[in-house]
Amino acid sequence: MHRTRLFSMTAMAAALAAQSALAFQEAPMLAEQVAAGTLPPVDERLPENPRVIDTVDSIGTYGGTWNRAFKGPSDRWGPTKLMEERVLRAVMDADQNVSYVPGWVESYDANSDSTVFTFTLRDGMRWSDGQPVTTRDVQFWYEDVFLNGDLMPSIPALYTAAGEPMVLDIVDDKTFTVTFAASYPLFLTVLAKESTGKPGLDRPGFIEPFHYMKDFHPKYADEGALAAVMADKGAEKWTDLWGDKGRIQAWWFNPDMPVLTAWRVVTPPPADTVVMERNPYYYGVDADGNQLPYIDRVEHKLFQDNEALNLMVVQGEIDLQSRHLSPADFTLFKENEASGDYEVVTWTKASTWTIYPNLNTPDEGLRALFEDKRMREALSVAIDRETINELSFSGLGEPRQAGPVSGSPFYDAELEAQWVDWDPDRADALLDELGLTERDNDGYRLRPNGERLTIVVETRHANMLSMLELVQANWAEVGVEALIRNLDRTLVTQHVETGEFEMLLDNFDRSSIITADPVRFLGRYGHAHNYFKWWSSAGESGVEPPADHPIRSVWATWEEAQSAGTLDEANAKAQEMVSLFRDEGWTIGLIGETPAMYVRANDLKNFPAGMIDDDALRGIGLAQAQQFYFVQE
Amino acid sequence: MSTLSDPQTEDNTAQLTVDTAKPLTLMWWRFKQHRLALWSLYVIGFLYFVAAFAEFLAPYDPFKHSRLHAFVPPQQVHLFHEGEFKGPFVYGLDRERDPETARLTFSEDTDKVYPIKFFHRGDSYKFWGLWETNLHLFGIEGGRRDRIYLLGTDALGRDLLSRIIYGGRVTLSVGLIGVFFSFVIGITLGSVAGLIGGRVDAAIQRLAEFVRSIPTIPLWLGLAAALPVAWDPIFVYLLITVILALIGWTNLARVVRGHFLTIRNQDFVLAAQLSGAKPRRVVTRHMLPSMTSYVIAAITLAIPEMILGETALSFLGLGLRPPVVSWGVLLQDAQNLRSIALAPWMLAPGAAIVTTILAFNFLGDGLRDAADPYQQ
Repeated sequence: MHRTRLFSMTAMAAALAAQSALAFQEAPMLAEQVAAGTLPPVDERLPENPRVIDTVDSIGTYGGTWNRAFKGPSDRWGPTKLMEERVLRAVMDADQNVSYVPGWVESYDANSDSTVFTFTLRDGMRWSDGQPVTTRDVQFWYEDVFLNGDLMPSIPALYTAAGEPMVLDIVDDKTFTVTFAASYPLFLTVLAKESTGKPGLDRPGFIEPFHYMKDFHPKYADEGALAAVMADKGAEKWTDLWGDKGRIQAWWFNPDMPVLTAWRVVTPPPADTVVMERNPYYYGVDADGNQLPYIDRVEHKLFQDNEALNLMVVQGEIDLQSRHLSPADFTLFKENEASGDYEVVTWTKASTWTIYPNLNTPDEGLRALFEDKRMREALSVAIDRETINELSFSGLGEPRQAGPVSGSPFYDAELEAQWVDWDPDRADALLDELGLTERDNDGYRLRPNGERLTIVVETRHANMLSMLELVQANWAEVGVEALIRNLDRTLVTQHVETGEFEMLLDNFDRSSIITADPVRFLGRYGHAHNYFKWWSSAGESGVEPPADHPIRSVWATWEEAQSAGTLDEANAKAQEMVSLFRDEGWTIGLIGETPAMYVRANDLKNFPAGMIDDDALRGIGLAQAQQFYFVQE
Repeated sequence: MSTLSDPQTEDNTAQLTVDTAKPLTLMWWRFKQHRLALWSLYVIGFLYFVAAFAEFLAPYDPFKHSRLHAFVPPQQVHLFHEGEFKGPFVYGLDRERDPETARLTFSEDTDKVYPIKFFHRGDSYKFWGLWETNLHLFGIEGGRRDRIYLLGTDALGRDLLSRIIYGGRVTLSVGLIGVFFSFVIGITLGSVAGLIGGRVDAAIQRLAEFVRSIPTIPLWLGLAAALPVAWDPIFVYLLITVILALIGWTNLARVVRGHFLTIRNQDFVLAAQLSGAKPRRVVTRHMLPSMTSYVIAAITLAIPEMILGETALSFLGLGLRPPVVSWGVLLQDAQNLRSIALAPWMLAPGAAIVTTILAFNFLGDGLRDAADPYQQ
């Protein structure tokens, strides 16, 4: 019965496609396979209502191989972000306005109080192996993955409202709904960034290929067959086959895993060249009805040392890449543009390099100082950011305070400029006002206990040490000694987790669509990580802040944003949270909105310039890689 | 240098009688004939002199950045300005930033002549941490912002020459302590094992095997987590080099032991023993010199390894990292395409390292020739 339905649906899709104004075209490499009879015709492969993806400059031509580089099997986000699929996607126009469009669903809708969200699948859409996409796949995901305690030990807070996890209901074979116990207007924003979370690598959300994955799930699979697969893949538990490193569920490792993405892997890692080839069933077309993607193949070449990648760039072996390129090499890449036949295109990073004074530091004397707003202002205005921008960023960044970047819907001009101008006299006056007037023989101020005012600033970013050296010199001028320590990533992470650090230099990222992930404002990984843990674990771990601590009002405002009745109200609350964050001035932002540098081969077209590089907007994914094309000779 | 001559000179001062003084004199004569070795000795002496008086010899504070002088290429010293003899001087710098590539270019501003002054008053410093002064060997007269960069500047506009001079201080002292320790331990334990044999030998061999079996990465990881983060990185590095020495002596000890086993029954050793020489004298005067070439070769290989290894453990936060200035750190700054293409002068610390290594090498060569009793 199932089979007959499938045929009838196909026939219907074909009939509709024939009637519609769009006559679909396909890539020559697929047309050959159709002619040879190994692939159904394009009209049968595309959904009845394919997603029409706008091209940046012009309708493209088929063919070509996109060459880029990757750093090893664990460097999976580079290839993933090129092509990951979402229920809904952020798109950005030339004026940096962000809007959301349906991704692999035909439509989505929320009810008036944002408690019920309805999604409708595209009719006739297919997985990369040609099997139809139905709500059975959604049901499988919900019942056997999302609610499976082995695969999802705990349900992330992003998929809960009022402490209750979302409930998914299948309406018919095309429609499903998601219901929350309370209003959750930001859910769609979260979906565009996070999708529905792990397990899985590209996390399309709400969906798993039931016809394929059921063989690897103990509820459906034959026990003996599953054990054989586990032995073959070297897995100890069946769940090891799943997840972003799972040898079955991660498309990156398993060429047989059915996907929805524009390309699928054909030569998986570990290989010196990982090859991805077009998905013949990809559901997107351009405005003229050409099935996307335009580019046939993506090849990722393995490299070990970043200098090897730099050499590949200047020799013109890279068609488009940003990952692993350092802005410090801007001049090098610029000067070799002609010889390498490429162009350096810049986007703006939605982040600010920031020093976080730790409000949870074990040293009580320092903690009291960090809690004093005057101290934070003094340390901030003591820094000559213009010089840092000039020397460490070749003048390409922008001196600014940590917070939403320009172009973000939550941009706050006052916050951006707060305590940014260099004023050592004011810094001195503020520090004197704090009672730090005594100095030692070397000119450093003494703490009330008679010790020198010394602050250890640690970072895992070795390439940012030059910036810290400049801060160190600036602070020395106002009598504060900074000890710079470059530590291993795991060590810094450990210090952050336990709260045992004094100050930390890190990127204040996620600063564009802050409602998708506001943790930087809430203190996580930065100025109040242990307080944040206390709040997010509802008091089970972390450190409880004093009852009158202002961070409580920031959290309260965010909680209000999350449970607001409408999206507008939620956004207004998020803006209020930014204002509260500004009034406290917890962080010492240095340089931000630095260029995200892309190297683009001159024959690769439709790559936009001047967009915002932010995780919430999915990095390069915002550029819609499906519609990049190579000029064909 | 000191690692090599120590056992011998010590022995000589202890027994400075008429007949033992003679070979030493002979050695010195032979050493003097080795021109290259003699020059190397002078070079090493010079390097240590520079390191000792770094504050005075370096024209500027190695940490003082200059916003307008990032990546200045080495400046040329002129003698004649418009055909007129002016004494050594440099021209002022004109700075331009390419708006397209963000590259900085500097050209000479021939209107501005800055004569080089010796015993110049510049950045103040505490000499050996004792007294405050601002006297430098040289500098230029001009505005507060005008400086002379004989070897150019780095990304933050800091004078590379000053940084190399200060960096030598760390590299030539802390960096070589580890080499010294591991050789002293290796030679001592190796010769004891080889000479005495039996249970002592077995004990030392098992100890060596035990030490070699200690996995180092977990050890470093543990150390990295345990050491207080506020400790001075140079002190931490010193600690690491000493630990490295405590682990690294085993190879040399094995080789020394093997050699001692082969020669301990040879005629010249027997002859020495029969003439009533005490074991210590037999070892230092007769047996060790026969393997100086190996030891010297090993040392000359160990020194560059140590210098380049300064930054090797830095991924754990244990090696030397900026803001510490050492040759290894400076060279790490230059080990990328960007520096080679845009600022090749950043490789200058490499020249200092090569010079040092060659000097140690030739010196070792000369010492070996001089110490070799069979040398003509």
